[in-house]
Formats: sequence, C-alpha cells, structure tokens
Amino acid sequence: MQTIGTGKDYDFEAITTVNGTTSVLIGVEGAKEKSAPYTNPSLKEYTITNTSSTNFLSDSGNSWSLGGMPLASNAGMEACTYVPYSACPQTWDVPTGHNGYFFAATQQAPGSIFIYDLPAANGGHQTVSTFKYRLDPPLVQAYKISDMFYSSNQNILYVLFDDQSTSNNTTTYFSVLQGLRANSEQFLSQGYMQAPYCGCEGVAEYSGDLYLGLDQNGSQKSQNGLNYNYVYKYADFSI
Amino acid sequence: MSSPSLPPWTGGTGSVILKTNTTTTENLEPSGLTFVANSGHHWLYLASDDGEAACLSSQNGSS
Repeated sequence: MQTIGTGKDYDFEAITTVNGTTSVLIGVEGAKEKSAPYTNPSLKEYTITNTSSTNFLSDSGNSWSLGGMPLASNAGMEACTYVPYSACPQTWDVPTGHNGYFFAATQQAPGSIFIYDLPAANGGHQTVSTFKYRLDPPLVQAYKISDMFYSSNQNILYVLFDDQSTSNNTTTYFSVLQGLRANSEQFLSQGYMQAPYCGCEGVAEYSGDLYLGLDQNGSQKSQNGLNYNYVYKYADFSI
Repeated sequence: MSSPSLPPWTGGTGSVILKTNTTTTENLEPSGLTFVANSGHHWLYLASDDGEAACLSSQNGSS
C-alpha cells in the first residue's frame, strides 16, 4: 500500500489505466467546498515504477480537471474508466488526445455517464471545460454510480451503482451491477442484477473473474453483517 | 424512492482476496478498482478515498 496524499485534494474515488501504457489515472472527487463554486473533479496521472515496492506509483505531473459535470458539496466524481474508441459507438467522433474516451459519473447526476475527450499529456495540468457526450439510457435506474470498468476481453462496460431507498422510515442500502455494450449507434444494456452486498464502490474484471470492492459506512456494515472492508473475487463471471 | 425490485445476484459465492484489518491495509476503503498489465503480470490496483493506493496480486491478494 502506498499513501499518496491526505485531505480532500486526495479524495480518490476512481482508478483506471490506458491500455498498453504504464500510466495509471486516479480520479479525485472534487466539490470539496461547502458551497459553490466547487472545485472540479480531476484525474491525476501516475507512472508504474515497481509493482513489488511499497512505492509503486510516481507522480507524472500530468493532470486534467473535468468541467461540466453537476456538482454539490462533497458530491463530485465517484467513478471514471477509460474505454477504447473501438468499444464505442461507430457514430462517435474519433477522440483527439487518446485512442479512447474517459467515462465519468458524479453523485449529483445519478444514472448519468459523462464522456470526456482528454487532450494528450503535456507535462502539466490541463482543464477540460466540459464533456463531449452524455449517456443516460439505458442504465437500470437513476441510481448513484460508484464505479465503472471496461472489460476488453468481454467487451462489456461494467457500471456499479451504490444507493439507498427509504420506506416506512426504514433505509435499505443496495448495490447493483449492470453490463453495457455498444452497437454501431449507442450503448445497450446486457443485463443487471443486485450485488451480493451493499456498499460496493469498486469493480474490475480480469480473465473472466469479477472483483468487487466494499467501502461500507456503519449502517452498511450492519446490514451486510461485515465488520471490515473487503475485495471479493467471483470466478467465471458473466452478466 | 421506494424499495427497488432487482434481479438477484447470479455470480456465485465470492472469495475474499483482501480484508482491511491487517497492518498494511488498515486504512484502505476501496473506492475504485482496475487491472494493470506490467512486466508480464496483471495486477489489481485499488484506490482508497483516504488518499491511498494499493497494488494487489490477483492470485494471492498480497499488497
């Protein structure tokens, strides 16, 4: 484990990588202020130095702030993943700075995905004024998105939701996993299901196995009956 | 919002590859996951909203 920073400027809520590179992009939630104007969410780039070391990432100096997403106090970006252009609808424009788009979601717009065309790295900080596309349907519902991951070997964009509902003064927490795949014009749902635990905030897939990460608050721990946070592996997963 | 009606989980019973009450993972609160290919291996990378990152072997959960 590596501690990179402390405080709201290092409120990490997402992590992704660009295929075939040694860069890792970590998403910072932003919106740290109590009232508007809010700091935009951002992506900080790190370079893999040595996976066997406790300091396995080094700051590349590149970062991008992401404008245009709706924000509220402590309600900024929760999810971000890189999707190669080959996995996007054929009607979309060719991205300019990378060979794919960065898909992001904010707590302030449940069920929506904001798609950014990031400029190529220039060794410093760059501001992207707004998103290029916004994806609303066919997501399962307007639940809060907590993470996303594009699986290249399954050609599935996994979208993870973590939300709550209240009925008769009783709050129930739940997480949902949905799979999306693009046809020539749009992303279509490949299915969805309730996750085995609430409080799921991380999803990834490798070699057919699915990984879910839990970041539970006290009420979610009580509902799950789990005292700690976990990463679970589900073998031979399909949706 | 009313209580949702959702299809049940069909992904089977999972196995734990990380539990956060060890010395090296005491403060980790997993908020994002991804896989990274490096030096011929694939590693599960984890971001935590307390400003940490972790690098895990997908085989044994070491960090």
